[in-house]
Amino acid sequence: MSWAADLIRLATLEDANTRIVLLGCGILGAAAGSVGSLAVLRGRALVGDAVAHAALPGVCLAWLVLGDRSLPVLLLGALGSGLLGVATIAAIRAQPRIREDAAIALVLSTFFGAGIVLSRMVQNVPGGHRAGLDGLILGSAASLVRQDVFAIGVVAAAALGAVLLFFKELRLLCFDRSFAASLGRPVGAFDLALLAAVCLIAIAGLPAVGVVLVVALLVIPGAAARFWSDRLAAVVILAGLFGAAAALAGTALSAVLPAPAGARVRGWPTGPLIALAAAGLFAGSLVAAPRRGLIARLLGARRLAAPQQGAPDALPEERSR
Amino acid sequence: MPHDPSLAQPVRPPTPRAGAPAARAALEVHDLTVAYRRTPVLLDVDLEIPCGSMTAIVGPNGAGKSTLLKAALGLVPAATGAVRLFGKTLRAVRRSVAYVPQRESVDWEFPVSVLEVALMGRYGHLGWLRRPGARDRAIAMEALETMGIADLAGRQIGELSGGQQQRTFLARALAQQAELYLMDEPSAGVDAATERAIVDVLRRLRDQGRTVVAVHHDLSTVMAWFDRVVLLNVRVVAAGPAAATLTAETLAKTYGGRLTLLEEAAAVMRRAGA
Repeated sequence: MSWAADLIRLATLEDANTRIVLLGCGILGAAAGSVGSLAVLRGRALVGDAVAHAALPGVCLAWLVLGDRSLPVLLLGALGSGLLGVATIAAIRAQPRIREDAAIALVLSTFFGAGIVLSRMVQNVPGGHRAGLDGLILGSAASLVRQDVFAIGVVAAAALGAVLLFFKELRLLCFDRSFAASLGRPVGAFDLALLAAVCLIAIAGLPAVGVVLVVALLVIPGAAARFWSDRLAAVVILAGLFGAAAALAGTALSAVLPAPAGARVRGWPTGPLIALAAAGLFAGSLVAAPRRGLIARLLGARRLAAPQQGAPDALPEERSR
Repeated sequence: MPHDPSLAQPVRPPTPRAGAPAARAALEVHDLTVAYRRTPVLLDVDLEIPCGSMTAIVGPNGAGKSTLLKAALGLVPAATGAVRLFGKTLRAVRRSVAYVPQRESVDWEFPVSVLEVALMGRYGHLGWLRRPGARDRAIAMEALETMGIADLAGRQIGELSGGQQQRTFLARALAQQAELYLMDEPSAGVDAATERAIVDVLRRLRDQGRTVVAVHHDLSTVMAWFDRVVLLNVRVVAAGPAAATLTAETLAKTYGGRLTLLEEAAAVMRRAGA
């Protein structure tokens, strides 16, 4: 029963490494959830996905060209090609007859394809099979070390601080961009800052969640939080909490689940488990949230439909939804 | 003229209110051309909108009506031309200008309350970092009261009807306490009561010496509601006092060969006794 022992060690936080991994994942989830919820409201949900996928070729190139396998260097490569991906999306969108969703899909798949090809080349280089690139694709939270958590902490603190400081402006921008521009606000710069925050969080999250599923941590917590409140501040805070909970749950599961028989690598990739944990939170919110959840709405509809004596023509309250 | 006689003349001559930027015209547009992907949306537009007037911008779909407002606010880049507001640059008088975008341009499921939207009208006076204070709240609540939706202040905007959403947008503009109001179809798709409430508020602004410019789609009401009309179809076809500007000839020129609209225009002219 080694996994039970693992579970006990995890729960008691007895191991210093476990503490570091969980701390990093929790901070990452909180930042990704809250900043991601704003990006979703601004209609930028898929950009984080594109950036993360576009980061893979940069990681591989950094490893091949620089020969340096330390994480900060790999992440710089990731940032470079991630930003190149965003710039490519913008350039393609400037062409007539190509819409943004098509541009994002095009860039995402092209860069990710290039990344996979390059990662095979890395694995053919002596020492390459230990480059940890598989961990960057699907996430391997257990490999987080003190430096990674430090990088995650810096990015998260900067992003959350900016959200706190400019919360009123972000609400204005996300709700009504052209009105914000009519007040003289530099909406282009604000959009760019939000995009940069999403990119940095996506890149910082690569080691833990992986390029394929970073988007889960950016998008799902905000979508789940929307079921619980109609106030932006509450939605953003709740999205942060949901993000942290999903990241911690996914990481814990990957550490304690018994590995499949005959597996070469010990433990499960973290990204998929985090995505599933986030999806669980979303499903729970969808069904059970007060007032806006399915159960509450079904009960509410039944109350409206119930015949009311003495007022047969009573109209239901006028509402657009 | 069959319409309300009190509208034929402004209640009192429009004089700039105390503290208003002293100028001849609230909005001057010179030689403005705006192009989208090399197709002109506005071509050589020259306009002068006097202070204290209530002007309708009228024209067919794709005539550049919304673009004219956006260009006046610097929201779309102009290929050529210049815009002056109260004789100054936009930058100098931005706080005196309120903009009401089209209602469909925002997501009404967004998690904000009616009061929070009205408070956004104060942001231009607050800067980036300051939060709205008690005085801003009082101004926003007063604007909601003027629009008849003070009781909805705490509601999430998705729970509103179309008319109530438009009232919310108008309240936000009122909270800006501006001198010039640029409105994109403020009465599109609203109920009759809201339409009436909106016209009343616009007239009250005009009677206070403020200037209202609104994109308007309904030819049957433009004569009754507005003092002045700009007929626009990429170029300015005609502009001036409503009665003198809205003729069968100018409408035909504005709407081109669109038969149904021509018939509608003819009906308007018959009703107006022209």
